[in-house]
Amino acid sequence: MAVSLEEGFSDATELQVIDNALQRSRLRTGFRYSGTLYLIVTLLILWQVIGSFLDPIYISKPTIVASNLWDMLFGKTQIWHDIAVSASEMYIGLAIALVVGSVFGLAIGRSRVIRGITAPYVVFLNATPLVITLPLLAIWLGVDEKARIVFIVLLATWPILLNVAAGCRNVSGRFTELGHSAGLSRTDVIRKIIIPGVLPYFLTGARISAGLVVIGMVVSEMEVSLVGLGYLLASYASGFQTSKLLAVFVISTVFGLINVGLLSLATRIWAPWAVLERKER
Amino acid sequence: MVSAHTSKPRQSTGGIFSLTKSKSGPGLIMGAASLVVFFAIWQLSGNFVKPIYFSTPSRVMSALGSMLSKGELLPAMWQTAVIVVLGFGASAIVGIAAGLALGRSFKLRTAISPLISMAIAAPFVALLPLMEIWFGLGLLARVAFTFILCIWLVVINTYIGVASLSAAYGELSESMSLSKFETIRYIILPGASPYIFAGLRISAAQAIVGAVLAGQEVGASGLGGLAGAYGSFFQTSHLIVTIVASTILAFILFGLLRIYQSVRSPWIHATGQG
Repeated sequence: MAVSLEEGFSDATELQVIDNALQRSRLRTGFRYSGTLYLIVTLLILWQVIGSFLDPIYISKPTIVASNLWDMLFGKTQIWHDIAVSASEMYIGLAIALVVGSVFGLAIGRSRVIRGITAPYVVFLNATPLVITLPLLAIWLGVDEKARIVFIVLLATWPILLNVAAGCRNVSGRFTELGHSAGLSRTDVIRKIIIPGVLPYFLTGARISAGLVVIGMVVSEMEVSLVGLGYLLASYASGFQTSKLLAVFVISTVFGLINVGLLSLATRIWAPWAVLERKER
Repeated sequence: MVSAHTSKPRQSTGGIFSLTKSKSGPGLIMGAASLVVFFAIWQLSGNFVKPIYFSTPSRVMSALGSMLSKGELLPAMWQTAVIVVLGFGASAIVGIAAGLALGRSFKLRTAISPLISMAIAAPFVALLPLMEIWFGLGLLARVAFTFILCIWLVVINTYIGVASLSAAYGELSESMSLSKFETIRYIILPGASPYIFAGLRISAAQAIVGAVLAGQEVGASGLGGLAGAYGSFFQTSHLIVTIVASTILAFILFGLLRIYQSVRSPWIHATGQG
């Protein structure tokens, strides 16, 4: 049986091509996500059933988690203040990271000198598990918002910087030469060749960063905070209030999905050719 | 259509900067020169800024000396490394197996892949305290946490790799009348290995993060625990040593992974896919 099922059946015989097409069309009739929905419902039911037998401290039950979620959002114990704090940290951090990452990425990508000078630091910091710098940031900036935003910026800058730099390198050379030989002015080269060329890389990096800011927010708030979603997670954990912990986890996941989803959408709109078969980065 | 889902981005070493290695002359000189300048400025800054903030290279070196002689640093690195290896190893085995199953079945993949993409966006770090509740305050909780962090990326990269193999591979295995196991071992796995190794690399970075974080929270173990302890005592120099040690650990692990890749599938690097 053929192993290929998505792209690239270019090597197949005609029969195989037709067969694949039939298979895909057969499976595509009907709602595309119906399998996923069945799976989700089954998992929820399993969770409810197993949760009824275990001590609620372990996994709780969907019903309890849902009611806690309701309380937190609309009911008696609203946590909108914490949500606002966390959201502001995330998005301020993301915005700063987008700018800083792009600027440095462009500089590094375009100039060999800058690349040579910054190489040791970039290679080093890229490999560092940045969570370990949190205590240092706390010493520098105290147990408050600034430290967390700096951490989020640190975390989120790398994907953008690396992707933009890689994109620049791919665009420089052949394409800019093409622009020069076509008689484009320098600003035109930047506007018409470099920016569209780097855009898919930038968007890919931005999408990864958007997912990372959620993690950065959770981690920094768990350790260096007295307010926010991460802090709530830590405090519910120490109180063994699993259902509330899971409810906050759901909220954080929603943030993550929104961030990544919005940026995937942006990539599809502005750089659809980037959404092709490629290795996961 | 296979779309590029989100994932953790950490490239190991190299990537764009591998180019400075190939044009070694000017690149190395600039890098070395900039490092010299950096350390000089850092050392001099100690005269103007209170050492609690940045410390100085000399203080960091003496902190390193004391940490080594007291036997604090190396055991901590070892503890973190053990968590990484166990968690990453388990996630690699389970992840590749799951990725293989998903890669071969269009139906399964269509149903499950949205869930996996969601799992990558979900901050599983938030479930670290839950791991403590489930597994207690020991090694198992830390390994389980690392496992949960890493596995999604391995699965997703593996199944993208397997699914992208062209029909020719299937025809080849048929024409050689290979059993299912042989097909997987000799054709599918090697064919998908660029993707698998890419996934392993990214997930190795995740594993280190997970191990360090778990060390900080779930009882003070490993480099994470050290960092937490030094942080609460404002011992900046020791903290810097810990940070550098974690980076070195990361380099060692990525290096091992690279070595394994060049032993197993040297053609990946040679054909410029890795």
